[in-house]
Amino acid sequence: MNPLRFFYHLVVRDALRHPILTSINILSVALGVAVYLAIQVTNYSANRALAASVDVIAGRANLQAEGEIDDAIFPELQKVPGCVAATPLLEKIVTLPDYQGEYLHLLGVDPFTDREFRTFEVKKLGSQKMDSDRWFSDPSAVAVTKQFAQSHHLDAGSTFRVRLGETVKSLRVAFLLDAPEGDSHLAAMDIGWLQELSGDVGRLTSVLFRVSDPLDPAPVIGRLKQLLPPTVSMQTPQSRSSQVEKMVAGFQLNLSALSMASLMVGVFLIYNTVSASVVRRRPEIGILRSLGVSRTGVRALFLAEAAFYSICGVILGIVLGLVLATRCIGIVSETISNLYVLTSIEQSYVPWNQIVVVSVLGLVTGCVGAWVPAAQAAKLPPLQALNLGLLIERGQQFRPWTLVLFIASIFLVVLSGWFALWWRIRILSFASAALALLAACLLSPSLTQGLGSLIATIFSRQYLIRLSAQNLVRSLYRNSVTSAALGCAVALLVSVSIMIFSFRLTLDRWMGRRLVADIFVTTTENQIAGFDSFISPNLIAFLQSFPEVESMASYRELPVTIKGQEVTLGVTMESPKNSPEFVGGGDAEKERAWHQPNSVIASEPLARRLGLKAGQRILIPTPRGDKEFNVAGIFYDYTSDQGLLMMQRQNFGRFWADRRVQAVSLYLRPGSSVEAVLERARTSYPGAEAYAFQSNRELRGVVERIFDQTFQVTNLLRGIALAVAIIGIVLNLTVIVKEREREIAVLRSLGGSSFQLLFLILLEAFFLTLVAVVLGIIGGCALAIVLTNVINVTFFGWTIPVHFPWTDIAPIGALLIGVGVLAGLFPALVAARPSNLRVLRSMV
Amino acid sequence: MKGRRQLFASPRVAVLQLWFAAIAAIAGLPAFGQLTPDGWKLAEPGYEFSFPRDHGPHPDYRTEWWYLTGNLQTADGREFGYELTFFRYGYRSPAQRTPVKSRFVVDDVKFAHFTVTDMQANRFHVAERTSRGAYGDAGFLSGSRLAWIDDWELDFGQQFAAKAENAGCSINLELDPEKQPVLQGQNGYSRKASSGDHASEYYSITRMRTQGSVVIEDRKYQVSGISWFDREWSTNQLAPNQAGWNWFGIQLEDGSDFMIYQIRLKDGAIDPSSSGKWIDGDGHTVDIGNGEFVLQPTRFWTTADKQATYPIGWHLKIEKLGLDAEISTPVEDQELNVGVRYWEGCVRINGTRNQQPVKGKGYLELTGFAGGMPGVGEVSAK
Repeated sequence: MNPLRFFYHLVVRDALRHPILTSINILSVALGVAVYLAIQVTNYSANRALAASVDVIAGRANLQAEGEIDDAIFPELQKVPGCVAATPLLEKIVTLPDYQGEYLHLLGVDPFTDREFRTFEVKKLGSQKMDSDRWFSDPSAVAVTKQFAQSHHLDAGSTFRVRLGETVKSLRVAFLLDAPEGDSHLAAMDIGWLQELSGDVGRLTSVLFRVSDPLDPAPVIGRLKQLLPPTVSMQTPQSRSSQVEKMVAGFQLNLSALSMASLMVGVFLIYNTVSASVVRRRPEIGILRSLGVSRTGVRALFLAEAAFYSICGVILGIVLGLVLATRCIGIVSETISNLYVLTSIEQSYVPWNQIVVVSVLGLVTGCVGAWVPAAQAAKLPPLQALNLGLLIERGQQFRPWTLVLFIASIFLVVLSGWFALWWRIRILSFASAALALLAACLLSPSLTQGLGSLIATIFSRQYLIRLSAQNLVRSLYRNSVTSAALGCAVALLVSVSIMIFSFRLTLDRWMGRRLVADIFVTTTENQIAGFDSFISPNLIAFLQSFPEVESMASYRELPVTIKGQEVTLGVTMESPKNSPEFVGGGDAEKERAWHQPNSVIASEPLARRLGLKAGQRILIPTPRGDKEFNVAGIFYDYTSDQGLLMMQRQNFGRFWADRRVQAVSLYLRPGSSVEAVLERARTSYPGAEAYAFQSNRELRGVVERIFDQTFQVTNLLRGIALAVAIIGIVLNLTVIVKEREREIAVLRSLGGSSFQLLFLILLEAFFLTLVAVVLGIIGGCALAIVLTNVINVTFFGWTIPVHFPWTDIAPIGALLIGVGVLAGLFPALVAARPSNLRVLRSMV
Repeated sequence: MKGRRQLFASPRVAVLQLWFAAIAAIAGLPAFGQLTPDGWKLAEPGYEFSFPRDHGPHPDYRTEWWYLTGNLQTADGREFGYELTFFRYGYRSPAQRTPVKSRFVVDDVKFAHFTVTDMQANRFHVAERTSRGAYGDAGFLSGSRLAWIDDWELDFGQQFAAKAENAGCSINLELDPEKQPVLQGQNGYSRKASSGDHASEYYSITRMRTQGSVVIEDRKYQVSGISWFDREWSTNQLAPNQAGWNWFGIQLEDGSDFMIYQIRLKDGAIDPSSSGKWIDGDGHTVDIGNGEFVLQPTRFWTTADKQATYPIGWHLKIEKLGLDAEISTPVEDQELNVGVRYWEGCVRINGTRNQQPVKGKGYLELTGFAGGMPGVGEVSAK
């Protein structure tokens, strides 16, 4: 027979005859593929957006000097030997008071020197005439992106308001900024007019360079450094891009790993699917074998079937994945803005190579899952296959080697975790997690066997319970695989829940200790763009004049380069009520040391990133040159996974002649009303709209919102894991009922009632789900420990004590068992149908 | 006349290219007393010229240039041509000049073109510089330093001095006027269109004895020769129906010089305001009206990219002066392709004046034949 026809008759027609089962099969592959692809598209789009955000500014430069640069030194920089072109740049993030939460990233550029650097074009907008006179002569002329103009209903010549500190100014839409792949929030105007507008006269935020030998910029860097203030950092845009990428890499890798896990679950599901197919089609196998089809032919048939489902699954998965990606991109974009850099991922880019990868992965998943059942089908002797009367399934003996393997993999989990921490090899931390999942799977046979025997012993007189427990043990390996599949999904669910819960408890604890002031004040711009703009001294004086204010703390950040890496330096003048908690204890002593001259403290992630230890001395570039500082301690901090270096304000004042602050917090006298102070600050300070005044409760709300937002994708994946688990349960019970047709028929003929049969199958569903849930919880806990203590530490450097949210896990377990039993209802009803005479007759 | 030269925006400044559009707008501006609605002063008859004051800048007008061209040679006869031009284009009119603190906010842009024609090697060296002069690196002043961008400079003291350098090619020249400044048009008021008030204030020093050095590919040549200096400022020069122009500045060996310009209209006709001026050896001048000269193209040169065909050979007849001559160039490719394209190069003149043989050297400028200028190809189509 033509192999294609053979395939059509045996696979396609069969698939069409069982639409629900087919759909489930396809869906089980599709979900894994969809999740994996969605995450890949999201990560890729995020990287493109992040790279574009660097590229649009410094894409064509070989070097970028960033920091507070006096524009008077620019001509000297231009003349540095080895530097072939240079252009000054002033960047400002401005908020738009007429559009809540909106901002513009204003670039002040110099068209006379930026020709070789320009990555965007300034074009005419609408019907307006394009004239450069306006660019240079109109103080309010700005070029905005088309998307920005459209989404804000702005035409050529329209004006809109921007907030710069406490003042609000008008800008006129004069040109269109065309930046391929650039963020829609970009806007450009002449550097001179931006200096005038923002009051940054004489100031540049960066200078871009092209050098004669881009492969060896070091000599030019050396010469430039002699001219630039020590606080200015010099780097290549590539290193900046890769820094940004590295910053989010941990976050993205975690998402990827979770999505890979969903593919892994797919392997188990396919195993079940094909097993079901083998069982259901034993007579067909028998006929085929009798007609001379070889063992290889049979195996090929089932592998082809798996491949067929996989291909359908892959196609559906790609479609679903692309749809899912659009949702993920929004969430991830917000998370990246909240946690890392202000960006907006506006376009989704499909990494076409990933389409290939995901197709191959989907297919491999299918074939790997189908391999064992296909081999079993091939081994089946024709006579046995044809004769339903023969024992369909031999009782499977428990093989202790699975237990040995389980113990070995536990050992490997610990070993790889330990090495991951010791050598800081991130990939090993994932190996550790994968091994933890594998260990849970390997425990499945032992657990199924143990639980089955235990129940059978306890309920030896309740024959239905005993029978179902024995059934559990009899198809030990198939049931083990089912339990392992479900267990994996449950483990993912549980581990993520534990991780989020532990994060949350740690965060609460940290907030309880560090967010203690009554009122927090910062600029609205800082709320959007991170610490960037400053609070007016007038506002500080105004707030200090409040009789309710007992004390005030202040904070500001600035980037510094330490050991060649960009580090955020936080400058604080804190109230004694708010003291950091140090790694290794000795808080009081370390706090005192921190107040000593030339002392700083490093947050835990930073210490890990730079390899810092308490007592170590580090060089920090200050306006007075590189100065040595003592690391007085490593403190727990969860505000940034890139880490923070903290310096006391009086220490900062020794080297920086800059008294500006970016945030203040107020401690009120006991008995004062926070609401009254907030109300007064908001209404009676002129220019109060430029600031966000938040009570302690409000700020905690914001922190919690960011926290929840960060875990939205994780939650999405968790939801999908739950869906996969449920599909698995339905699938497996359908197989069980089919397998037990003969036995059920015997039971019926012996007088078993429909109700009893229903109960039997439901009991089996219950036990199966129970094993899976127990397995999932054990695996989940193990995975959570690896996630928090290994992956989390190697990627983010945070110490997160693991806390088990039993009150959350228990309902999930109960829910799953409930769903399992419910899922068993359909196959159970099928089993309870009184139409099994055909089956019984075939035994005779 | 070098009308419409404000179009030669720097290619280094993409934004400046927008001038093409801006120019059309400027050209269409109605006269409003002495000022445009933007607050720029318009060229008007009756301007009182005074030297050396008028060698310096006129920031109340929008556009202005200092234009040096010349033919030089070494003692052993090796010949060079050069052009060094400084342009000022105003962004902020006097009315718009609110006090500012940023050094980057300037009232005008400065740009310059520098060329050297090496006749022996048949090579043409071109360079352009543009700056807003935020750091005093470019600017215009009355007094000794008239115009500069980086190390390109035009000075005026006892005599004029010019220097420029680019990529191993440089000039360093001293220029001594042999004649007094000549006021072009009617007492320096040069009309550029037959209707409206399209005009400029325009004077020339047509003959400057020049000495100094030319460096080409790092080889230095001591040179001497004659240069031509054009000064022109305006706000509203050109009419929208104009396509480009052909400008001739010629110094004859008999000591007389002449300037002739033809403004070409988009419809292929010649604008009636086209004219010229004859300056004899003693500095006496004769006006040449539009109907008093005949110019016939005799030779064309097409650029390698086929984007433009320039009429680089001409037959000139000025009956009232008894001049009948051929104008030709020793180097065909003297095109400046610096964003805006135009041809400006040294030429030779050979012919008769009152039946006596006469020859001389000079510069020819051809605009509007390629890239961005309206009216491309009218002459070449003739």
